[in-house]
Amino acid sequence: MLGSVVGIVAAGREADRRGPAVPFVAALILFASGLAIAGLAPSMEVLVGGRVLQGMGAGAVPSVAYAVIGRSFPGPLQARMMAVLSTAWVVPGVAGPALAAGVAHLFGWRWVFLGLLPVVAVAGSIAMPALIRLGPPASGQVQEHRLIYGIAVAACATMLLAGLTLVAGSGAVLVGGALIAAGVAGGLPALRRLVPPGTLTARRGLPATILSRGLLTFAFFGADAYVTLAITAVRHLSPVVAGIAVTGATLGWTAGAWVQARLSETWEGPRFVRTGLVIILAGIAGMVLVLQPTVPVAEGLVAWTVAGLGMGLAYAPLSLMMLRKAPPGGEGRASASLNLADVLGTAIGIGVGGAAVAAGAGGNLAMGIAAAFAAAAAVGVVALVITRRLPPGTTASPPPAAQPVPARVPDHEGQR
Amino acid sequence: MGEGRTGGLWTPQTRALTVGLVLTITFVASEALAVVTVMPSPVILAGCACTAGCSARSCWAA
Repeated sequence: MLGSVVGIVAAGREADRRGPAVPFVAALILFASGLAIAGLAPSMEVLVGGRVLQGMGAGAVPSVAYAVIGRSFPGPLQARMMAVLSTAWVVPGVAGPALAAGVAHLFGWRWVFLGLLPVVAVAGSIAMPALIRLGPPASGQVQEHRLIYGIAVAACATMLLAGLTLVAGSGAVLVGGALIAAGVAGGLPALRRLVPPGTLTARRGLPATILSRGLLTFAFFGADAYVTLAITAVRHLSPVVAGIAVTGATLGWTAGAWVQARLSETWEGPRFVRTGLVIILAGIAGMVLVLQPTVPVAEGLVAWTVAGLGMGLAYAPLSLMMLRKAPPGGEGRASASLNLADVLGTAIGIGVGGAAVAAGAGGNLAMGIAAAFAAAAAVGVVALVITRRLPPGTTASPPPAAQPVPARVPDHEGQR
Repeated sequence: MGEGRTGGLWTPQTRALTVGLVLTITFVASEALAVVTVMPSPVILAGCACTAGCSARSCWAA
């Protein structure tokens, strides 16, 4: 987590200071270095170190990508670009594991890392000229993001998660409770420095958008992480069957992303998020039902595919609302805040669910997983309430203050 | 996915940016997903946003 959070914070800040090209190159260099170190690693420790570098680079890429989308494309194209990026997940999601297994079998596991080096370099170089042309934003005196706060947030989140695991898994209430308290007490002040003022109290506009993203990822991934366990350990079916649910959610997510792109000029942003959250809650309810031995597992596969659709509907509109509400010249930092919310929501959601599952593992695993699903759903309900504070207007409408840069952006009139 | 809906992303002026971003994200995602298949969990967790477990896309949500 540390590498990822540091990458997110640094990339967002530098995208506003220097333009997107520098942090994009830095992210790819870190990622590629991590690939090379992992691929050539003589020991497990070095391999883990390489993975940390990869995480740092991979964490930085979305912050830069969102800032670039916000500055390069007008509103309707931003929604479509988000859908295209979501589609970019389908091939790796469906074919990636099998391809990696094949490469590892034929050439050895090192080539799973090393084989990506040239293609990452080519991909980065294709985007680079356009990123250089964008340059730094014209204006931008916004809240400063310091790396030390990112490190503090990552460390405190790790303490919080470790505390949860200790309390639930081994009953070490005192030590675990102390870790949880220290994580919350130290993490919240640092987090406050990295997100727009009012985020933790769901202030209307950009702050509520950032908070909603964290709650959304908590709700979805807090349940998604235990779908496989529900199907394999409670219903005693093979991982292949569980894989159908996970793949279904990936495809559903992409379908939802395209639906939001098509409706981006007619639906208001909060409506997408509200609809998506209701669908996710329905999907979680469907997964709770599957924990009952009398309910067909096929129902769960459909339920989680539908939940993915809800995620696709809600996820990209929050990115678009963030770009619309980001201060001029502050798109990088707003993107970093959003990605930070992504990472923390995901990690804490999975951690809380894991604690619930661990608590139930000694006695009734199904009850533990049901508790994990219930925790995810409860956060989803909170997110649903907060949708009233999201920015109104369609996600395709141009930002009031930060118009795309016409001098550096090609004319789209002929295509619309 | 008609041209009228997506054409603006694939014009000669924007094509390189669109393709470059999409490919970069695809390959970064490939790594996140592929490594789950071939590596033991400590190695997976080291490069992942989450510390408690990975569910593919949760490692890097786009």
